[in-house]
Amino acid sequence: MSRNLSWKIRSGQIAVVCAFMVIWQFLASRTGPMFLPGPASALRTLLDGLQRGWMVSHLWTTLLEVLWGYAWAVGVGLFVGFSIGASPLLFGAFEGPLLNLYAVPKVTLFPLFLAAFKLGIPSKIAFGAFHGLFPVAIYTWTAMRTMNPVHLKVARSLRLGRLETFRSVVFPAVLPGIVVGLRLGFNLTLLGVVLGEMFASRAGMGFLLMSFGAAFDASRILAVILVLFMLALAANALLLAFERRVKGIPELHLRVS
Amino acid sequence: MPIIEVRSLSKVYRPNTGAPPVEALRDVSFSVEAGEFVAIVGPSGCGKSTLLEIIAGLQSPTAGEVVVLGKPVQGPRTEVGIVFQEDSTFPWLSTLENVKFGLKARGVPPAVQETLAKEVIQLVGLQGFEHHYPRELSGGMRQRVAIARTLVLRPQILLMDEPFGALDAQTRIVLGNELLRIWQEIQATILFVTHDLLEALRLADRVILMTRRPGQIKRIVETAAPRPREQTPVASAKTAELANMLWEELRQEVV
Amino acid sequence: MKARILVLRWLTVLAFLLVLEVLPRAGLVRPSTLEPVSVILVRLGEILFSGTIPSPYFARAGTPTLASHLSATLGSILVSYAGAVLIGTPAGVLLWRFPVLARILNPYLVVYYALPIFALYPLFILLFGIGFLPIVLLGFLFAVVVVIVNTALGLRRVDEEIYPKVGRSLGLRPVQMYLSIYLPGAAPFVFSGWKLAFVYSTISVIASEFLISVRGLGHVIDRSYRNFETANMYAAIILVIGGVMLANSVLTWIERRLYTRVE
Ligand SMILES: Nc1ncnc2c1ncn2[C@@H]1O[C@H](COP(=O)(O)OP(=O)(O)OP(=O)(O)O)[C@@H](O)[C@H]1O
Ligand SMILES: [Mg+2]
Repeated sequence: MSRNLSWKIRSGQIAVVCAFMVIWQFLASRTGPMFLPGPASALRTLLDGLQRGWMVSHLWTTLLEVLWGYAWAVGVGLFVGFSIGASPLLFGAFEGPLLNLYAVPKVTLFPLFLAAFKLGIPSKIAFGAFHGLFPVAIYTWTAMRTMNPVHLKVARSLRLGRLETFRSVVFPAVLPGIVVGLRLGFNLTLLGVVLGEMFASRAGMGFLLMSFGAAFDASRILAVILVLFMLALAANALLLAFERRVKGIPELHLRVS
Repeated sequence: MPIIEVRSLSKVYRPNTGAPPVEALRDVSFSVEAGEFVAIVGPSGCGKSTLLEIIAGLQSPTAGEVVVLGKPVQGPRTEVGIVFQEDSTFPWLSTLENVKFGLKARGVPPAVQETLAKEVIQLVGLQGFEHHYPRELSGGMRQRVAIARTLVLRPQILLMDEPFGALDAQTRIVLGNELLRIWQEIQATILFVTHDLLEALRLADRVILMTRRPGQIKRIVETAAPRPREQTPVASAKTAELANMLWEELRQEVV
Repeated sequence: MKARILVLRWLTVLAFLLVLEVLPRAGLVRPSTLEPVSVILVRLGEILFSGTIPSPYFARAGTPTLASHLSATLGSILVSYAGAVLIGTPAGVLLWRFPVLARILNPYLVVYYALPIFALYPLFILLFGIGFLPIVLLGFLFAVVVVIVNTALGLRRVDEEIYPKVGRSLGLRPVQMYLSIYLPGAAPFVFSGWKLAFVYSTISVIASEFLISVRGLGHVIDRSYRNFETANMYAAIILVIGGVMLANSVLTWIERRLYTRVE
């Protein structure tokens, strides 16, 4: 790539951010700070939330729920993904139904989670995990099913054991697919946790959003949104770096089925 | 006693997609002596790859059996190495790592792995590409990596499924010469599938000609030329005569 | 194999339903938490048949009919979905035609779905009030990017194939190139984007209704939950899930057919 072009792209990317800020500021000045505070004021409120602490404990709650939810999503997702990917019977029986379930608005099932788990943190963890495990599982079994069959033949002709075949042939072959699933799984876990908090809870960033909404406190809503978005971006920067290490340049992977 | 004995082998594929069954091989019998170089020629889709994979123990026959080194084949064996028709290099491993793959699996000490692998890489002419990944190699180079990965294990029996398929005519001849040299050096038995009649006649002691699907043996011919042979693009008069005869027979199968 | 697959699948479904039936009947969970499946299905039948939700709450709220909620939900889905397709598809074409633009926007598109976008909903409500507009806007935002990305990706994939070269070597004019090379080549990928957009806008609309709204199926679930009308809640859940699964199955079936033509 020529130097000139890469410079053009970089400055274009910066221009996008600037344009976003300008539009935000413009809209803010049109609607007034009661409804849409500008970027500077949102940032001030954010810092205030961290300094005076009205946001901190809720942020911890959300982080805790997301981390636990994600751990479960990864564990269960990998288990389900490898099981279905390894067995034509399980794949035939459950691929279609699970893809269909993935497409369903999972919020509708949240009352079930509230009934099955306690109202507090556990129901959010479970709900977040329920969101996040789908991409992990789907990308895992898809990667396994699209493995090059000749690689398995090589393993068999060298008489590798099951464990060795998995370690040195299956795992490296499916890893690039799985890391994408891991990233999307995180995103959905976060989404699920925030949704759960918004619907019914007494703590967490989602709870803050709803209570500031009820109090018509636009600048605090924005501050919470900013923190959530920055959290998502930071986590994705990490996961994308991991993806890049595993498979070179990450692509856009949105098609699932 | 022959080193490979193929006895009345038949194979019918029954796809579980509901498609009709495919009869790939019908009553195939032949044997190969230790140290022999045998080529198999036949029209596309006649069951050559199937035959090789059954001998390698990767597939089970519908009827008949294969006996290798006096024991019936029930699964893959360490004495048998196979080079697949399609690209089988691992894209996540470099050339060197690919070649070391089988050695590692067998628990060969790392230092020995390194020397053996480098030797074979030299042999197939890939020196300088040790640290390249398959996607940075051409199709023919990748096929040579796969050959090296099998050769490095020094199998007594070498099954090769169109190993030069992705190569140009010149490289085929050069590598054919190399293969003959390696064959004599490690004293292996080679069963070699190709669709190139002249190549089969140049390399092999015997050529097995197969019919179209379901594959049966149509004819087996001896190539009388003395060893060691020096490969040239133009065949000798005797070879040309044999080629013409085989071509006549093959043509009936292709049309 | 085929038979075993079907047996396993339906046995699992049956076992699941059986558990849901037995748990409340055996008194293991309270009926305020879960009603037996049979009761729920009967309630769903009643609602569908009579067209009204048998609920004192919705009677007082003045929205007892199923039609009022169904129309609100379907209307929001339709408008946000149509917006996503009508704006997203041309935007995707632009992105493909101008690779520099694509390269500039790529990092933003990659992380777009990382953002928990529903967090914007309370803000939208402050700005636009409770009702149709914030729901549709959120549905549109959630669905449009997948259309853009899939359209651009599909067209780019055609470029990586040999077909455009074939077309040019045959002397096709630009219009013919679009109609007979790019359109059929990219169709399955574009369609995938449209399908996902439908799924996403549905998810978004139901979720918004579920959080704050005055009408819609999501609203019915939310209010029934809060008023302990358990049977109504599960009836609405089944209606939503069943409807989405049906629509998704149809779209997936079309999608598969499109892909078998190019792969
Ligand atoms: N796994 C399989 N399932 C069903 N049918 C198969 C399978 N593998 C091969 N066949 C069928 O068996 C026949 C023989 O296949 P095979 O690959 O052995 O042919 P081949 O002689 O190696 O052909 P080529 O020269 O083109 O490589 C073909 O008709 C093929 O369609
Ligand atoms: Mg073959």
